[in-house]
Amino acid sequence: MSGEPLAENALLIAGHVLETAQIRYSPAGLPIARFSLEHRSRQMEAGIEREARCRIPVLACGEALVRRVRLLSAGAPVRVEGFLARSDHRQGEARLVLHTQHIELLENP
Amino acid sequence: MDRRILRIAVPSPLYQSFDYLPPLDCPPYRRLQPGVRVRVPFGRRFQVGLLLEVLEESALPPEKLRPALEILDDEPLIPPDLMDLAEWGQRYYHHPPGEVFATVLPILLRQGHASGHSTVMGWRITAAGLALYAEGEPRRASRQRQLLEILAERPSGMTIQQLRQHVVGDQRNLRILWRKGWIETLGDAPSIDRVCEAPLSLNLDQREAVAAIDQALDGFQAFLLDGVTGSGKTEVYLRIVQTVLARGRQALILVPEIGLTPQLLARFQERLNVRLAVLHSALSNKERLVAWQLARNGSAAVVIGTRSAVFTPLCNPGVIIIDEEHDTSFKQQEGFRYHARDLAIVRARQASVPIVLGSATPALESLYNVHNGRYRHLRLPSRVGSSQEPSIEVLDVRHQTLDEGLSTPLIERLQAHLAQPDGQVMLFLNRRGFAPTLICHECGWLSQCRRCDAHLTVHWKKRRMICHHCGLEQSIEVSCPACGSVDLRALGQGTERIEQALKRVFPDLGIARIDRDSTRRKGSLQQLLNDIQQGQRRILIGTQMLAKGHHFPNVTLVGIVDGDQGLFGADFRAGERMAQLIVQVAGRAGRADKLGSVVIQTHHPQHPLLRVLISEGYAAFATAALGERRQALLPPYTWQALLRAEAVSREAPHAFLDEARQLAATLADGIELYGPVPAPMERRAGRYRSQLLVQTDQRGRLHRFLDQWVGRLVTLKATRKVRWSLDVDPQDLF
Repeated sequence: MSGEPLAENALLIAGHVLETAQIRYSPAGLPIARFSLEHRSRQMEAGIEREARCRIPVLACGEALVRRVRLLSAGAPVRVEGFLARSDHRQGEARLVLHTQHIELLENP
Repeated sequence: MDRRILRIAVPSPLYQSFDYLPPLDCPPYRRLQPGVRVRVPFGRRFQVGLLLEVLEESALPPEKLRPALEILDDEPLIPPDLMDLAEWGQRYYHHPPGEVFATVLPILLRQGHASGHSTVMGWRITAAGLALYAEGEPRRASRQRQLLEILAERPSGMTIQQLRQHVVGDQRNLRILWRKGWIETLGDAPSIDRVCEAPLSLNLDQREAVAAIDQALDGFQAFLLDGVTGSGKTEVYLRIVQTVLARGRQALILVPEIGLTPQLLARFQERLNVRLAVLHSALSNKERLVAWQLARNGSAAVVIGTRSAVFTPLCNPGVIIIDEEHDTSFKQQEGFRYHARDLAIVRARQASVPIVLGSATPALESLYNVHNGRYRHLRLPSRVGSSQEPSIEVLDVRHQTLDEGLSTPLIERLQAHLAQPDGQVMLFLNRRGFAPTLICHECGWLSQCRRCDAHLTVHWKKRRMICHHCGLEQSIEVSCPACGSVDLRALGQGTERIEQALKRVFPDLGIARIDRDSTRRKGSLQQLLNDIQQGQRRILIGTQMLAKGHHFPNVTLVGIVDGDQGLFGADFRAGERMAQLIVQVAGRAGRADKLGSVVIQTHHPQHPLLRVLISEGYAAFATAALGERRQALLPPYTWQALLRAEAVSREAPHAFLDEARQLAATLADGIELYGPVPAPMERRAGRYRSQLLVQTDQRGRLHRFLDQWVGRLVTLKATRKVRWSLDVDPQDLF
């Protein structure tokens, strides 16, 4: 999908589901799930190990993905792969949201 | 040989009638009266026209005249008074005569079917009646049994006169038997029954109104019966009709929509023990013809119908009544654009009978006619019995969180009223469907109709997007056509969405949604109304279908979901319509012994219309609105006609109207011309629409101008590229 220059947009991130996803349906009947992912890891920066923490909103659209999201309860560890986009069309601060393409439930560590 | 000319109105869009030679087997001329149908050759086809007059000679040379084919009726199908009315309508509305006269006829007669008019001459026992009689029925009603016995002895039937020699004329019991299907009519004499049941007692205002009209039954007089909702206007109508029937005359009653006034109809049927003819658009052609004939030959003493029933022939009219006279459905919006109320007034004058216009929210035109002395004003200022007028409260929804358009205070009030045993509430929103449009949450794309300048409405249950202007339908987009996002959302509220929201809040209560979608199937409206009456559904949500005429005694709260709708309309009548709607909807609250309240959600609690209407009432609003109309030189202080044109190309309507305007400039004297301008919704069903407004301060001047102008419009070059129409006294300026 990202063969063209400047078309690359991919994020792979793992973390815990903050709370059970909210699921609604578009007027055409397509399910849309939304939840927040809590990420916490240690990463290398300038040769020094540091903590990386963030909370990111995740969208999952379509029957196949939403079926998997339904199984996730709060605290579930997941790995999500997808792309970033603005979360709405309003003016002002652009908030980002991760649009899921693959989602995977991880074993509890 | 003496050969005359027949002048005939032939259905066609041409602004003229046509001259024909009589058919070869023509009956004697003295028997040829205006109002008979004539089959004529027209172009390459045949048409059924109406004979207007028999002339000595035609302006056309005889060799150009074609002979008519056939005279279809022995006697005039359309009585002279209706011929006059049609003639008046054709002149006033400047419409092609053929189409006007066609409007007067039921469709089957227009197609040339035999009129087969019948009148009740006597009675005959039916097979069912004979069988039941043999079994000893009816056991309890001795008079009916006696009548059956006489008729059973003469299975071929008896005339009224023969029957009278055996029993004293017992119309009531004969009719009971007839309704049971035990006897049938023997093709017919006029029969107007005079039996009435013990009526409710009237209050002082009602008595005065009835007395005033009773005294005027012998001539023309227009009355405006201006009574608040629940003030007993129907009872006044009933009394007047009873008096008229007792004099052996007929009553014509016009109502906005039959389907929406079942209760009015039921009351008339209950109280007047006479034959009613009901005329409306949901009838089959055959049913319509039968009702028309019953009215024409006088066997129906009371005729109730919608707009087009103003053209019903009556053999002996006694009064005309228009219920909800302010209702816009009385104005025909296509073809022959007549206003049934205005035509009814002309008809009453021609027939020298009184006409009663009833409303809780009279049209400003009618109030103006009261001011200038043309109508007599009869007021019913208070509700009947113990019921009180509802209190009205404005709910400021600015800064409020709205859950699907419903504010928390509104929900709380609903809960309080529904907590009472049997309590019912009603929510009003004049927008059917789920949401007025679909929006992309990511890029802002909106769903548009490709044939109209309008959004597509989301219908949830049908899973369709529908254009409410041209009917275009498509499935709901799965993803945004502009950016591909699947996060499309329904924007705004329709009745279907409110219904869903209320289901979440009140999962255990039955909800009745009443709009054109939920009542499409035959009988479904009646079913919903029954459920409401029996208390099985306690939450009512609906469009303007709910606002008219219904009586729900247990409704104690009425909520107007979107009070802002209509406050800022483009049409100068928008305010008047809004005020009428609020008062009519409010009138549904607290009609029995229960105190009602009305809540209006608005973002404009200080809007002058709402303030005047709520603190001082409709009459004060109307006075203020009339003042504004006078200052702005708008109807009813001026007179308007609207020339509309439409075409597939954007330029053609404008070009035609430009030519029309130039033509007008050569004729106009004291005439104002505004436009041409694009219609407020320029494109509709793939056609571009423009309009030219004609306005002047005198009605006579307007019509003198139109007389000259309209006839010449057909000669304009640009006319071939457009479809055009003229609307005299337009009710909507688009």
